[in-house]
Amino acid sequence: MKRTFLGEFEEIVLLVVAGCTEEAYGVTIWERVQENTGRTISLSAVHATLYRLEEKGFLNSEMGGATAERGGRRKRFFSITNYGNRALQEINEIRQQLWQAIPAEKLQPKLSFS
Amino acid sequence: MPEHRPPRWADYLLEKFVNPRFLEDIQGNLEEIFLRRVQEAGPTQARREYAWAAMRHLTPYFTKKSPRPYPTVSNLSPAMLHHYFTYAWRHFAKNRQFTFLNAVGLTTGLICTLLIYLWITDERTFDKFHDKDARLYQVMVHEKGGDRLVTSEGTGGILRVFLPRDMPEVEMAVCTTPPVWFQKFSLSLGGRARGGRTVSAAGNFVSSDYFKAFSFPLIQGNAQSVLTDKNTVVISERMASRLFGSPEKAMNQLVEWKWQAFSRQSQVTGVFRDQPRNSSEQSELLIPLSAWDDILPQGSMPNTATGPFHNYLVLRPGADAHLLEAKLAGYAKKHFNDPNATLFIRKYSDKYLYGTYENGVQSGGRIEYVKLFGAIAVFILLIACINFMNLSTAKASVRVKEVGVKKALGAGRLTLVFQFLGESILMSFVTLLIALGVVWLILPYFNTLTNKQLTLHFGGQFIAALAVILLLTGLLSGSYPALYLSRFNPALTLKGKLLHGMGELWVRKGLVVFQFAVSVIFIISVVVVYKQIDYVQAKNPGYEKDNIVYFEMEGRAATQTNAFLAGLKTVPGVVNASSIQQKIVLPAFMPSAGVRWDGKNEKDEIRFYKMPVNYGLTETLGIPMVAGRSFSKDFGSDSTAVILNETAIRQMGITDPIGKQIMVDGRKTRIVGVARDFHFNSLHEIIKPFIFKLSPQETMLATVKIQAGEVPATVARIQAFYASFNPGYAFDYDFLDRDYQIQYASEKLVAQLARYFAVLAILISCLGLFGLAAFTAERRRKEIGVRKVLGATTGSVVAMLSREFLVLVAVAIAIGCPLAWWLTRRWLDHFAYRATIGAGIFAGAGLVTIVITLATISFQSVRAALTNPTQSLKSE
Repeated sequence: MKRTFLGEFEEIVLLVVAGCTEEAYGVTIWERVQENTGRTISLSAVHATLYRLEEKGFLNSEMGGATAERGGRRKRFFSITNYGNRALQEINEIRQQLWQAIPAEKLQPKLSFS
Repeated sequence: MPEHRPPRWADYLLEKFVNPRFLEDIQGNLEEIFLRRVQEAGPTQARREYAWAAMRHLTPYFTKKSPRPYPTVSNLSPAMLHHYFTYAWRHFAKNRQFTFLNAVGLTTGLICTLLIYLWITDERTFDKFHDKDARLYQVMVHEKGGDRLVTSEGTGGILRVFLPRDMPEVEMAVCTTPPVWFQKFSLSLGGRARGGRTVSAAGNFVSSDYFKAFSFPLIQGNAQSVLTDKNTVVISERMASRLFGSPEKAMNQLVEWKWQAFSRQSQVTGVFRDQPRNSSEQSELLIPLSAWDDILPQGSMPNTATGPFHNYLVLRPGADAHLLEAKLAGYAKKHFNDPNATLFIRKYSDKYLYGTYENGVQSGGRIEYVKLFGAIAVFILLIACINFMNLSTAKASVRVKEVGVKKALGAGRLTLVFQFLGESILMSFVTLLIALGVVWLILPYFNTLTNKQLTLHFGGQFIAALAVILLLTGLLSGSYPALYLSRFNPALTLKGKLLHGMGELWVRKGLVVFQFAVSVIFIISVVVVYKQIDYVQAKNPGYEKDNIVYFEMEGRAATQTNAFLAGLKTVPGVVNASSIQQKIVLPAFMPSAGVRWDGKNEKDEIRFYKMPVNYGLTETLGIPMVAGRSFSKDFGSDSTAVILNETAIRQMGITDPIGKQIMVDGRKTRIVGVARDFHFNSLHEIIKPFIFKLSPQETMLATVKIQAGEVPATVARIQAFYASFNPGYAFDYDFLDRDYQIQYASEKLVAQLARYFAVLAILISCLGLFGLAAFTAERRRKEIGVRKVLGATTGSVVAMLSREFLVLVAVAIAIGCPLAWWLTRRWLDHFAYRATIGAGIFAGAGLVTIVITLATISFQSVRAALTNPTQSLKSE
């Protein structure tokens, strides 16, 4: 089986795009990523990741109509592809297997006084 | 609310560097955030954040170029070359007239350039073929003469011994007698075969190292040992074949050479290959210098730095010529106690091209003509290239559609530049081939004209020169059309709009003006050169140069001169006969101390020319006396008589000169007459002081005045008389007239060549003009049709079309005349006596140019004016 490589940040961005109900474009994705992770992320990092994901085939994009508030510039809307969906599911399955393999007692926080 | 804008510089950086694929999205997102932040945090903070976020996008990921979707083709790939070739061919085939005019113009230009290139190459290799060329020098001398320095090749024979001894730089020295001394030697078989046929040979006396210094290969004999024994000679291959049948048979045979009263039987110890045409040395007979010492013993003459001999030096490898020259400068004063002479050395191969010295400084010489023709070649080629440029840009309107379509299909500007350059290079390549063919055909005629033996020899250098000429012609003629045509905006040209900028018009007009200015300069220069040559021909040199024949007196004629001359005068057709030491155009130059007289200012160094003559010489040459009398036997004591010319008397400041005593060469002499000034020098120089000295025993050349109109018959009779008086000697004669002409040989060559080249230059210019006129007439067809419908006459239309070109030609004449005046003035400065150059020549040249222009364009303009307007207006 061909393995899918996705970095941690890529995975987050991909999940955010997948989770968007309305049309997702750069600014909304950037805001959601920051909200969900609580980290400060630069816009350029989000842009680079989006374009890279598109190049790899996990995302699709298309240009929207002209808008007034952006100096007349169009928005690029991203949506997840089937390939992207499957990749997310695979990652999820692997994680689940790994989670299941952990013995229950190890998941209990240990009290330690030493 | 004021409109807040993000920082411009940040946007500029983004637009400059970020890949356009991402740019719109990134900028849009940034601006959206910016506008929100203006509300939240104020404009300053928002701008700062915008700039920072924008800068974060300048990473390689965003800035790298996206790969091109289609593969590109190199402009020089075989497919493109094939494409260029096809298009060039179609273009040439479609525009026949254009192609024909261009081809003829370029071919003519290239023919001129090739011929001149061959000529210049030959001139530049003159005397350069010696192996030791880099180390071969000639000893020369500057002498004080009057208030200036006079430079000559004549140096003392003893330098051959002194210089190798005193100067460590000198490897060997060669001394020769000056070849002008010897008209011709008579050469015949010696020994038992004596009395056979006699041939005349150009000869010279040379010292023993001659064949070691100069690279004249010996077919027979050894360069180390020939010329060492005074009873031997070395002869040329041609002489050996004529006398003995072959060089091998000539070896060790006896020959007898005769010159004047001297003769000697000598053994042939060597045969050398005929000296090439491009050599200053032109001998067929070389006699050891030691034999000359028998004729005129060295011991009888004082050792001097100056003298009649030619001395050549071969320096040691690596020797410093400048150092040697510095040491030579004081040599004459130190070793010969001669403060007036300064010895110096000149490269042997510079003798031919850089032979002229002006007051002790090298000043041009034949190199000036070489440069002149180089310039002519460049200008003619330039005119031909301008034709190509003008016609190509004029044809632009036809080709803009092609350019537009190509550009719309994605051709870059460079592709089009390559295409048009390719066209011009193809054109120059084809014309170069034609030109080479024509040059090959006309080279024999060119050789006769220039008296050379030029050949088309495809060596490496010639091919390199051809390649350079080809590329220069192609690039030059193609450059402007290529840059001009490739500049068109496809959107405009495809709509049918062709913007003719003023710049383009000016360039084309400027080029036409340039062409015609050059043509005008050519015309005027040729006329001036011809006028000067006519002037030289027509100018009375002060003696009668026509119908005078001279020859060397040898054998019995030399020993019994008086009887010989008396006999000569009885030959029918002979008007008068006398004898003279040298040709009248080659008098001896005397040292400043050679002439002294009462009242001579010791500082006043007048240099005299002297010529020993026999009785009756001035009468034979028709030089009249302005005072006193000429030499005459009636006065008995004329052995000490001299005749001076007017210039001499004037410069000496003597009043009432007849009967005055002066010292000439340390001997007391008496002035018996004053001769009217005559041009013994060429007209390049002003007349110098001259002394006729009566000294029959020193004379060598019989000078005979012949009845006009009976020259050939009389010369034949003189020959018969000479053969009977002096059997066994060759009769070699020359005409004084010819000597006079030889003084102006290079001017005549220039005149003849310049005439041909001027005609060609005008022809090429006219071809270009013809093409332009045709093009203009065609482009204005509709306009002419409308004008005719509205009532314009044929005459007015012709005038309208001609005016434009006539203005250009008038401007060209206005520019060309002053330049031509300046150029011809400089050339005429070489002559002390020159023809007057009136305004008439300039007016005439201008008129001729205008007439030629009118004739060229009238054909086109009349044809355009006569076209029926219904023809030109019906289409559309």
